[in-house]
Amino acid sequence: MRITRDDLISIIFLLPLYIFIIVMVFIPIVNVILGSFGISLFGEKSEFTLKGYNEFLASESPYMYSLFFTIYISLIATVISIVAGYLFAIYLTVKKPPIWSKVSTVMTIPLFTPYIVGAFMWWTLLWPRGYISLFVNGILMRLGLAHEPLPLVNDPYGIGILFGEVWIRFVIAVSIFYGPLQLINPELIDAARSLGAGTWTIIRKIFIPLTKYALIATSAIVLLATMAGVSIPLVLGGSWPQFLNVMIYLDVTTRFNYIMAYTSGVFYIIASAALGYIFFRFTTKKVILQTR
Amino acid sequence: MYGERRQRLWDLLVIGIVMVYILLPMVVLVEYAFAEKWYAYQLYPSQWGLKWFSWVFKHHDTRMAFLYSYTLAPLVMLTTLALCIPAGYVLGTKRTKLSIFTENLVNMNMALPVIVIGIGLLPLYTRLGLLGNYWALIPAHMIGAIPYTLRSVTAAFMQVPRDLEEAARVLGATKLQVIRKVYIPITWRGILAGGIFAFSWSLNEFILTLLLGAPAVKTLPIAIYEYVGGYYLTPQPAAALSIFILLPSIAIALFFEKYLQVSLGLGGG
Amino acid sequence: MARIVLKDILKKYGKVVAADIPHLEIKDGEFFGLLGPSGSGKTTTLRIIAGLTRPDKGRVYIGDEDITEVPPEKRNLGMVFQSWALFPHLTVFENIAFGLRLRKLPEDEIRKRIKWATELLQISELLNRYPWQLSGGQQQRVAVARAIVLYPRALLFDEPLSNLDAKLREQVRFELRKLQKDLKITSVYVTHDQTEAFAICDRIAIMNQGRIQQIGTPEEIYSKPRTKFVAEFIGITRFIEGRVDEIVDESNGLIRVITDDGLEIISWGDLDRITKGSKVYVAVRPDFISLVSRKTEEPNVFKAVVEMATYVGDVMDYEIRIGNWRLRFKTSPTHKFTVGQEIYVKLHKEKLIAILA
Repeated sequence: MRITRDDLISIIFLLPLYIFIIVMVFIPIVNVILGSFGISLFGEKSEFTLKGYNEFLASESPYMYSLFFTIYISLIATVISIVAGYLFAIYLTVKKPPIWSKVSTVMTIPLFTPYIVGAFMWWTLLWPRGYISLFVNGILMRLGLAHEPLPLVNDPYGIGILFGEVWIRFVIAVSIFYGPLQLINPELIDAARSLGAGTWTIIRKIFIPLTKYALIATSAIVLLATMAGVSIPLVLGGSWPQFLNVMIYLDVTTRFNYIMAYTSGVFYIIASAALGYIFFRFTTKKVILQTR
Repeated sequence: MYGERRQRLWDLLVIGIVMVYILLPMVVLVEYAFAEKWYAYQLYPSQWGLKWFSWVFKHHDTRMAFLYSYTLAPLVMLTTLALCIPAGYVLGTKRTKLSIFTENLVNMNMALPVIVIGIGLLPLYTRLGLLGNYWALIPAHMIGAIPYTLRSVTAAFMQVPRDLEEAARVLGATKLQVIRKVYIPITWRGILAGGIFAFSWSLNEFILTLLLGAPAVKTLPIAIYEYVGGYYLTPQPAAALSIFILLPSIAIALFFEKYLQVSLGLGGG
Repeated sequence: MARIVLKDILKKYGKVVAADIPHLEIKDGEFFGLLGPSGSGKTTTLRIIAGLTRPDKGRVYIGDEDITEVPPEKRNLGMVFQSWALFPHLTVFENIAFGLRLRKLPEDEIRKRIKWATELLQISELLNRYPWQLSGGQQQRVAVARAIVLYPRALLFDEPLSNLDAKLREQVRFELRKLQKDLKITSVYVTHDQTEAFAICDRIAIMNQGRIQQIGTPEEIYSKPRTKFVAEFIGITRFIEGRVDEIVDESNGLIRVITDDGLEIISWGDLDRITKGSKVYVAVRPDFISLVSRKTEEPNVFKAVVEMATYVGDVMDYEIRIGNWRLRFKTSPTHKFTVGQEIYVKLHKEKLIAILA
């Protein structure tokens, strides 16, 4: 194989990018993987050990619990955001509300809001003096369902995290779904109606089958983003149980338990590789949509 | 479908609920930022004012946070563009196997949680003595920005018709003229959008700054986190600070919507 | 049983009147056409019948039942769309079965009905294909099959042939008409193509700006247009403007029209509406004109100047000028005239149509 002048230009132009990726992404990832086995590329002590994995996988391991908590809360947040976002996007597609064009910009604001600010905003609504907290607890206590105010933030159930995550993921879901739904031939919906399908049947039998790849891919990326984001569980999460990424953060900043941070990191890499694979698999797959 | 007027009422209800849901946290944030006196038993502040804004400016830490945040962001924008424009040119104009591979590689980085990269960088930065170094935060901020910026720049270069450059060369244009007359007019929007992505990402970046920069270098998100992270239980200064980072974000969102017709999520970890 | 009646229908989009129909009755078993240019309200009218668009005012009846408040999915009307709207994720079989399954019919009944419909439309061998594997003509047949398997009370067609090429369109027209006559099912057919409507429909409503201009059989509409719009829309029509000078023959409805530039024309006119002194447009179509060898004293014979000549296959197409009026005129290619040549033509008085201005 001969290297042409064009190839040479490509290589020279791409070289800085590759150097950057190797130094700033590749080395850190290798570092985390080796570090989970006790091997350090830059530190002084370096010794192969399975201590990290033993501790992570041990019964009653806080890390396993934390991993399940992360997945559990992220799944709930993902399902809520995807379902709500999908239905809202369908509403916009089918009903075409005239006022939407005037207010749609508002929907882009959460996309540009720093997660830390988003998390803090929800904290002000959910802490004991926050409006939502007062409102929800007022109802619960009047109905006799609770005897003392229920903590809605920094709580052990992950309620606060759910509020914060859903706010951002819902908007992301709407903005991702909106485009593909516009590509569906509106006569298909008219045809289904004239054949006897009501609204729910149309959603079940027309919209979902036609957008299933977008649904799967979006679910994967939303789940991944929810599991990976640190700001929201850090600000809205409780003291225990915690998201695994908060555990990582605490391990390196306060507990100095590097091997456990690296081991947790490896689980994150595995999870993101799996979800990332699903995402790219289904976004590159040919989606059959009848366009006008 | 039934009843035009009833339908419009439904629209108002559904979109109204969504709008309230999206805007409520921001309204409450503003309320906190402007609340001078707010007793625990009251639903509303009893006195409004700018106290917390001046309070924010009086503190050395927060003043420095402004300085760090708003100097880092343009630097990150420039360095990211410097890296992404040549790369985007190759990816956008030469669709070779190498280009596709590079694209996939960069997209794969996007799937990696930033915190994992952060703890991997920690020993490297420690070894090189870069912890708490202002300049060393620039490449850290670039990690998250590059995938977005590169995608935007690549898309811009894809719009350049392949034969346009050749046609210009045949007509006797020099290389510089080709860049000025062909590439810049077609690609500037995409490059600008990519630059603003990088700017916005840097402004919002949180976890890498926290791991690699703090406590020596604290940007605005770190300052906000310190107020809510349990050190104080007074959300007002954090609210005032948040306004300073939220406003530019909203301005950027509006700008994108209006002039560049692109939008993308940029939460910053 | 299944006649369709629209009463006092009004639909506006903002200030624009999309449909304003005081009364329209489509008879049982009739193939009824809604013909008009785009934006004339024909599709809106069809969608109001289907229930996909709700009128601001008025009632819709099928048979004796008022279905104004019935949602489209409960009206049991078969509809064939412009894009055919086949579900891309379902096979031909599942597309046709879609409505049957929603009605929870037993599987053998579904198979029986699909067998009947697909044999009727000659698409039995396509059942396992997906829509994108079919040609336009096949997709159109599947769309029709999907509509008729439900044994609908009426069939609604929204320009179903506009996406087919010209040759196929002609063939499908006759098939559709035959199918409708065999099934004896009330059908409404929306189109902007005059020849299509004329070939298929028993009666046609010509629409413009949301209103029905004229309803009648194709012959009536062609030979006796009631408004200038209808005359202009159907066929190649030119107009000569003038005033009614005298009623020449009351029993045959013949009148004499005099133009500003002094031409005297004997024309047919609807004497119920036209009186002496009325301002009228005399509609002239190419086939109303014939060539004469020389000027005679007969009425309606004029000297004309050839302004433009086009050879189109089997005929010569001329634009000629009589006085100030430009007309279109066709002859067999054996008569070749050059531009600027003077010829004599005769306008057939019983064919000319004077329309009240």
